[in-house]
Amino acid sequence: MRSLLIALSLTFVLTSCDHLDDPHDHDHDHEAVTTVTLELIEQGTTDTTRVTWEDLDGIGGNNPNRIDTLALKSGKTYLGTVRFENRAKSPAENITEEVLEDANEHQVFFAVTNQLGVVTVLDKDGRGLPLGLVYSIATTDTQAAEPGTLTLSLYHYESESSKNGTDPADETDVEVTFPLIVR
Amino acid sequence: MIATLLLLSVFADTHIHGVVRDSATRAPLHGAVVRIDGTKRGAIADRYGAFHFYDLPQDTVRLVVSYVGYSTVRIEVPPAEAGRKEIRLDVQMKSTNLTGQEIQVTDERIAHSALPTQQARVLTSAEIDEHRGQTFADALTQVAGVTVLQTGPSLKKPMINGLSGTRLVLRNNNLVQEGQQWGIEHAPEIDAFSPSRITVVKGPAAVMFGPNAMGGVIDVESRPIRKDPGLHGEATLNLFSNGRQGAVGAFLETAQVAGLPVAMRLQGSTRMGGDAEAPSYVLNNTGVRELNASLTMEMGDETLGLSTVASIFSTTLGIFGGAHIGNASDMLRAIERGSPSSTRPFSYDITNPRQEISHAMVSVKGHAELSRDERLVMTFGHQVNDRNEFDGHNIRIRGRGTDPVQRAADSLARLANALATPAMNLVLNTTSLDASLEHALSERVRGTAGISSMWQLNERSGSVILIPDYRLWGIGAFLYESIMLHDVTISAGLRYDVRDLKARIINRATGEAPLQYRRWQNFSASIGALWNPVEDLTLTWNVASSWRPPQVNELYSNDVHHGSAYYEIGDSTLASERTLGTDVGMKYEVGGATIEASAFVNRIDDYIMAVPDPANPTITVRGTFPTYRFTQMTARLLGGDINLTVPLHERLNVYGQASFVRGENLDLNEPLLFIPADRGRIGLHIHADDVGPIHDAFVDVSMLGVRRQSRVVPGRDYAEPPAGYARMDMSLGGVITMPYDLPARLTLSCTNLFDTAYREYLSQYRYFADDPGRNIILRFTTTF
Repeated sequence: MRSLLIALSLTFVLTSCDHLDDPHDHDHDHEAVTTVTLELIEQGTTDTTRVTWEDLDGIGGNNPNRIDTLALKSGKTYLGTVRFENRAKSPAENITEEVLEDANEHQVFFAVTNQLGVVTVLDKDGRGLPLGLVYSIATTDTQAAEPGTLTLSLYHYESESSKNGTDPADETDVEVTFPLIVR
Repeated sequence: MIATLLLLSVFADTHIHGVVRDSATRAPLHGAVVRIDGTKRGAIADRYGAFHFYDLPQDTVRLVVSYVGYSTVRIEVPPAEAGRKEIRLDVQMKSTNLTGQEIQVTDERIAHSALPTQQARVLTSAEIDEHRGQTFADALTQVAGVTVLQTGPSLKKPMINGLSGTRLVLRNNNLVQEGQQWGIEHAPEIDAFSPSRITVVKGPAAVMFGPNAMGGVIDVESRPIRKDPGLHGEATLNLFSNGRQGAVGAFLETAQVAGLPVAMRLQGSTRMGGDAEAPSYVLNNTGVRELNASLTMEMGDETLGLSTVASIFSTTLGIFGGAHIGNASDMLRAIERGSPSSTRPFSYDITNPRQEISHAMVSVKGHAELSRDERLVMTFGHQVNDRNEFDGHNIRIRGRGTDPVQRAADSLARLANALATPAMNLVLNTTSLDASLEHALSERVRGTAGISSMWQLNERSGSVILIPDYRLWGIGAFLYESIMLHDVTISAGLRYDVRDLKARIINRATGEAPLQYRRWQNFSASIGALWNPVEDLTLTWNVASSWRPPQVNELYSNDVHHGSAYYEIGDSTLASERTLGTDVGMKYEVGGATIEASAFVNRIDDYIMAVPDPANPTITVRGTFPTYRFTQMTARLLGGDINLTVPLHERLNVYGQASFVRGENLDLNEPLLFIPADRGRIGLHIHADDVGPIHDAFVDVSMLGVRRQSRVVPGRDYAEPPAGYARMDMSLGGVITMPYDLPARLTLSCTNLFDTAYREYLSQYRYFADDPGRNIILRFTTTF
């Protein structure tokens, strides 16, 4: 019996192959979003503004490689969309589609500082609650206001019943902040 | 020898128990040593003077009862008669001035996991039984100065005098337990039911157990196997109302297997619990499943012998959903809310986030008496710790393909796969080989010289990178000696250790994983004295200096801690810590009352701790996290504790216990994080020999009071420390005789009697929810 145990323990030792000899990291399969893109069209025109927030190496590693500044004109209304992608994968995964498919369990919230604008969510989920992939921003009339930020948060609710259209979920999936200038 | 012996009843061939008292005052003698003459087996009387022997040979047994300040008592216990079960003894000891010889008693009392001069407390199997809780660590908190860092009711890490994790050594069956001790939410993988006695050594023990023992040692030793013929065993059932938890443990043992001189014990235990309940809500997903087994074999005798233990521990632990958060904003919202946002009804289900851990070990210990004065002990060990942590994040899986049926199937398959894939898997293999030579240089000088070696390989996988793949080996050589003079014992020890680390560091930004090599080596030393200036008074004093190399998480950690929403970054250039500490202890017995007190101060140079770096927050797609970086500083820990037992009456004791610890970062002149708040317990213990059919009946009522931890840096933590609290606990029990003459020990306890809502500063859940409420515990143990 004892020799069996020793043999068993030796098997443990011998079968433990050495990861240390392998210089590659195989664990890059993040489900996470790497890239958030906002596309805004000034109402009544075809002027399009596109800004991107991107952290290609995911959570950890370096801080985001790209955070664009969103520059808008004062006193205007913009129609906006948001796109979530995982560009760490090849080809890039469009996560917006997944959000759309489970719209009843997702919601995007927007927060603007320094009263630079008001965001209105335009789209609804299957139960008539706000979703937030399509929205409008009405910017302030005040020219040369102090710069501020636009923060976008995506929440994935545990179930339909925990989404009520006004409260965030307990756990944030995406929270990115763009510098915002209105002039 | 002036002592009286009352042989109250003779019932047993196996179980001898009794109470040791002062012959004049009838006060119980806590710490009296009861030895079986001619063997090295012994028991120590507990706080109430009680001792037990379960495993006695069939012939006449000579018991030797000794205690500092008392004449040694020798008792002949006649051979048990067939079919009898129990012998109860009332041992009365007469105090004396002849202290010279009894110095050795103190040595024996502290056993072999501490130097004679050190602050150590032995928990007997009866004490462990009486306080056994939902985790291994619960039984330890009865020792003053020991607290637990907890992540819910089923996940508790012991802390001694403010130090925990990789600054403590936990020994299990003669091996230093090697798991992932660095994690605050990583509890020791030890079966709460393993038949054992536990020694808690408070203070540096690096000379004996290596650099990680700078804060102390918890030594879990397996109980020796009964040597009398036949099959024996013990079965234990624990039921807990909170979490509706049930646990059973049992062992069977025999002194002979198939006629061979091999003693064997087979032990197993299992536990199942559901959601714990705070006074006003359910703590969802805090259930536990546990399945443990062990096999112990002993052969040979005192002169030449071998003992082997193989064990496996496996557990699945739910992590409270309300504490698993996405980012700092979620954390602040949860704190502001004050209680979990949504609670589901009680359930036994465990979902993500959860931990699945198994720990398998084999330990082989051989000993040989080379001469009357020399004994060689060799221990080989191998351990495999497999830890899987499953996240609850981002289960957003969309099926692939064009056909809707195929897409649904793909979606389910990928969801199942995602749920079953740990965010972090760590497999830690450790092999160790120790050899020591215990020797007596003269009548008065005894000691041990030895070498100790270990080899360790850690392999990780998963998306979370808290520690890297690494290989670590270590070797150490040590010598410690004790000199017993007339009323003074002096101990001194010296040790030299080398640790060599090779780690593959993953750089997530570049995708590269270069190797890094580090080696550390240094001395540890200690000296101490024990003095009996007058009878009934024992004074101890120790000075020790030891070191601890930086641990892998401190060097290379690079990820978010989900329970606490901060991003922790290691520093690969950290140097070793060096500690210099001293402690004093005092034990005084007067008129049956016992006072024990100790105090310590410990200065740690290059103390490694994660401190906030507010200038460089970590920005991620999940939001911004405060960055904590491992840095080094000069730290000082000081504290003390006191234990008091006063007999008000022959059957009634009042006891009290209090402890405090202060931790200070001397560089910044600010308090250290996670230092236990001041606490004390006061209680009444009533003991009766016989109440109707119940022997050894007792009732114990106590109150635990914990102050608010006011020594923190304001604004540093997400939430200020919770308020202090007082909690009432009660237990009553005794031994009854069941059919077939089986003795059964029954205890009914209630912790948090009044269902008080409180939060413990050392709980990781204190930001989100109250601690569990009232818990009624039924413990049942029978021996056969």
